[in-house]
Amino acid sequence: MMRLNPIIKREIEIKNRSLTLPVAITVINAVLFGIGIAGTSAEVLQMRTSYTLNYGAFLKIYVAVILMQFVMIMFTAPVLTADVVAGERERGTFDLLLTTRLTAGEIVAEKLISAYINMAMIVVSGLPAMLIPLMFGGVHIQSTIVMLLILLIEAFMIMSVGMLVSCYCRSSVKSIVISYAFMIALTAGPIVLGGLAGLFSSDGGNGLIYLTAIDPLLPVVTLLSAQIGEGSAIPETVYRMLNGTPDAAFTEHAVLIGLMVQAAIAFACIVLAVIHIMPHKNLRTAAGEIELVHKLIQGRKSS
Amino acid sequence: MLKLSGITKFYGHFCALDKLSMNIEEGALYGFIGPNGAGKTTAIKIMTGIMYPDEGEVTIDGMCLEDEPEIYKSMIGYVPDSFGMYSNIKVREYMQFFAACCGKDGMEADKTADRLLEYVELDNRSDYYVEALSRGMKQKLALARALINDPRILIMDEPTSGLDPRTRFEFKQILGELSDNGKTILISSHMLNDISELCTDIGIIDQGSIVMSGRLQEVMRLVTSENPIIISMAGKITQAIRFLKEDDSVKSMTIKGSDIMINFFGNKKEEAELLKRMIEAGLPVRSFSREKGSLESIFMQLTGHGEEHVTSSYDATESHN
Repeated sequence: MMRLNPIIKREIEIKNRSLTLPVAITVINAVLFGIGIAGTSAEVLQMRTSYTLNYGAFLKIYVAVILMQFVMIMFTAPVLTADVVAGERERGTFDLLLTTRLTAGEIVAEKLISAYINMAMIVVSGLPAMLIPLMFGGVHIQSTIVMLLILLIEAFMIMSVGMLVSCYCRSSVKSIVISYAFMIALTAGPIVLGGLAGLFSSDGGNGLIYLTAIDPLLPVVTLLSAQIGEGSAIPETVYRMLNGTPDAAFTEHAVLIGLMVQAAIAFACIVLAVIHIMPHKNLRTAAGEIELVHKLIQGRKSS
Repeated sequence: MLKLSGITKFYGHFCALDKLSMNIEEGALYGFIGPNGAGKTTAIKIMTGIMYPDEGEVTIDGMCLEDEPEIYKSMIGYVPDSFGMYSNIKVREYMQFFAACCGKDGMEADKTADRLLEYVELDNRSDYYVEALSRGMKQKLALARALINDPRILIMDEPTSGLDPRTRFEFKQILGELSDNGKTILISSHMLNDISELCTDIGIIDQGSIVMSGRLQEVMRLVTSENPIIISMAGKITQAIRFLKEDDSVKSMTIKGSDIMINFFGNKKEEAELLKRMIEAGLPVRSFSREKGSLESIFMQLTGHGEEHVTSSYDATESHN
């Protein structure tokens, strides 16, 4: 049986005793509903006077709610992951975990999953707010669900980065600060670097626009653009601003490419986190552990 | 039983352990002492499998940590100097959590937790939050946690530090019981009185290497034989000084009132002969004895970084043994 439960069970029990998660869910939903309801109310009031319903306004509300949801994830994820290993180190419990039968891989996986469960609860609890514009049509419920899934994937990527930072840091505060720095670098970095490179590139020849594939905003913005009926107009505007003309395939599959690149980043972060906290760093034992995991997976498949 | 062979560990360019070798016999209550920064914690982390050495090998009964980490770790119980407690968790839940981490599930984890809490007399506190426990209770809880796997070796870092005299006494009683039950125990501590009271064996580490190890009594005897002989005179001090100066075995002499302290390099028989000659010479000797050694004096001598002769004399004895 997969030993995933001890850390997850304890984290959930502890979190249930704390007000942090309910407060976070309440605040985040209050903000999302605030945007959704305020925007909708304004449109309904305007409809009473003009007797016309501006469907485009509801799409803007949808965009605002999604982007706010994304910002909330960016702000919340580092806080949820900062404590996971750095906090164990601060409490002096990390060494104790290493003396148990849990391997470095299991510790990282269980810690990440338990933090991600909380993040997923926060993101999913925002679904009703995301559905507010649906009252007047414009976006399908399936589209909203797809957007929710993408937000969940982005949250996982961001938390993987936070997990890696937490493994390297000895204090939670330091971990939060560095995680935020990484988030800013990942989100704004490609745009800033692309913009700078664009200044020195010939018309449309800025190759650095492909860096946007690492930006967690890319899949969200590209999908939003498609969902509100703009096609790829919004990302293309960004590419033009950066003085670049990406390959048509890149523009067409930007969501998928972005998700794949970010999944790769998440995977790399998890592997690095495991390697960092592994007591043995020589290749022989590390290779042994990978072989053991491989055998376990094979055994599970055959059974 | 627990053997460290040629362990070397670097932190960057700093060598924390330099070819450290030590052997802890089965059933021993091993006192592990050394000054701050000597490498105790690093050695303990390597023994517990928290850290791997850059060079060298750690084995329990020949089984290497790197080959069988899971089995190796199940044979070790570790109590760190910082208790390692979670907040917002109850005593019983804390035990159940670590029992689950050690591979015990459901009922087995519950039973183990209850049995060990009863053993350390915390069963009446099982519903308390961990942060509400006193320092002594936290230390007992840490001990109970370390016993979850029923380990063969218990490694404790500063277990009695900061405890009040009663709790310290109780804690030492528990350790004595565990030792009587066949557990091998390593205690790292600066409480030298506790070490000399509890331990059967000792290892002194300094600058990343073991500078002395062995049975505590043998180590004490060895160091005592290096101590000066104190001769108390009932009179004729000047004649006694003159007599001792003429003896080739007497290397140096200090006089304090009617007491003469001599550095005498000879065995017990030669000591007896010196006393006999003094009496035959008509010198009124009131008492004649070696100054008693203490763990503190051994510690000060061996970790003073200037008294090389003690280390080298030990080395000679060690190789002789």
